[in-house]
Amino acid sequence: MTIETVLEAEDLTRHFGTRLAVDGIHFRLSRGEVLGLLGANGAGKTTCLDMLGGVLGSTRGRVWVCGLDLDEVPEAAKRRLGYLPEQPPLYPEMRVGEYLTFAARLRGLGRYQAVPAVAAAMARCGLGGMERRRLGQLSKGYRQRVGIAQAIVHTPALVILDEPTSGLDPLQSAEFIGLIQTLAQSAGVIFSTHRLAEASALCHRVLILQGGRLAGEWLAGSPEGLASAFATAQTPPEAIT
Amino acid sequence: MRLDPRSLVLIAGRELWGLLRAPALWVILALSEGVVAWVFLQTLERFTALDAPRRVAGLTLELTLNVFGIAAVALLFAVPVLGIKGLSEEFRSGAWRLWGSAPVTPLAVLLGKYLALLVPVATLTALPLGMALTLLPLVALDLGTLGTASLGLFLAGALFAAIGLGVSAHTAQPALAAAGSYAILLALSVVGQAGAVVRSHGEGVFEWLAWNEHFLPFLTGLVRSQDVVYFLLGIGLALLLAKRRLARRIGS
Repeated sequence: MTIETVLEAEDLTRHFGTRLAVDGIHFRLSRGEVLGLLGANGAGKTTCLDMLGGVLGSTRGRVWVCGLDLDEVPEAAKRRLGYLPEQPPLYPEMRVGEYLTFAARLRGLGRYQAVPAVAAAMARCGLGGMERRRLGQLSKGYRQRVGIAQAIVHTPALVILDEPTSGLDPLQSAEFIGLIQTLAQSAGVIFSTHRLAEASALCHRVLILQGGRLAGEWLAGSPEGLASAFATAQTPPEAIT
Repeated sequence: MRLDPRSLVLIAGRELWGLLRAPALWVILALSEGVVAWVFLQTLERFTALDAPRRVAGLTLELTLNVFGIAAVALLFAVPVLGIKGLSEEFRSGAWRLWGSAPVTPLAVLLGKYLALLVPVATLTALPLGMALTLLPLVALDLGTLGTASLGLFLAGALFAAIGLGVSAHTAQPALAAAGSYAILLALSVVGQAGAVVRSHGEGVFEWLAWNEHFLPFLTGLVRSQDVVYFLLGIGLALLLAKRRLARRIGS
């Protein structure tokens, strides 16, 4: 059985003026794999995911989605990914069904393909019966669900989620964890989080970011716990004796 | 850069629905209708009160200069407000990440939003024309002059829309985008006056930059290629700058 690489980042770097937000990150993600990005605030997680999602250009480095260079063939590469930013990209005046249909068509689905795709995404995200609700009237949890639904409505090979469980209650978080596990059956999933428990429960692999650099990596099943790996990665090298 | 017509239509449709659902558009249309109708009635009243020998211009010219003129001012104030919604507000709310991560080019996004803005511009252009046409059963109007005035008004509105959208592509602060748009439009409105002051030094340049200097011939029934080129160049330049800014922001 061959392992299909759905995402590859090479020397991914981003400057904002003189500030270095992400510094030379390399990694690969395969279909069926869940990869976590863990780091403190300002570690560069969102910048990194924005670059992977194609909404922010990199200063240096390259990204391939299913083998397609995100800089050279952005439209073809973006057709294969779904991205949920930290703040779900919603238009408050739109209704749920209408918005998801727009998102599906924007990602290349035809008028008749969009109808079942939207219904399937809504069912997966627990949005049944919400088609006519206005996005501006939804609670934080439901907005997040709609945000995920727009990211998966075209069944992408790569799903990128930026802190999908932030601001959700424990029950909603548990539902999201279940959803991510389901998504990983057919796609590669990369998500950022602050929560160690969530990352260790869900991820096959966790990349630990610090100051924009890849400071450590944790593999599920390794004897060292994620908390310990995270603590080691956060320790400056000179402090380790 | 390729332009996918399907994406263009999709984005324009969504933007148009967004505009139609926003109270701002209806308030602007209602206010503009009120102002244009008031000037229309004033013009008619003034014109009919004068004896034929004292009339210096025909009714059509009176209508185009006064009614289409005030409609242009209404467009100048109204269209940037609608343009801000196009990009600035999306940058602020984060909604732009939807099309940033979608397989659409910045050009398609920009043109889609611009096409949607042209619908209210066309509607506002139709207001004075519609009012003038209601007089047709009663008086003979110069339809050619009404046509050129409508064309000029539409081109001016299209320029204001492009400038509004162009400025809003450069900031995530809607208030700043509005102030920037008005500053540019005000400068382009008064720069012709500066030409009169420094006429001996640089004759014609300041007048050429002023939009109203190019709008006036349309109101008198003249379609000059230099005026059409001015508006098309202005629209093209504003959209080009906006496209470059968008492409930089979304990194494609």
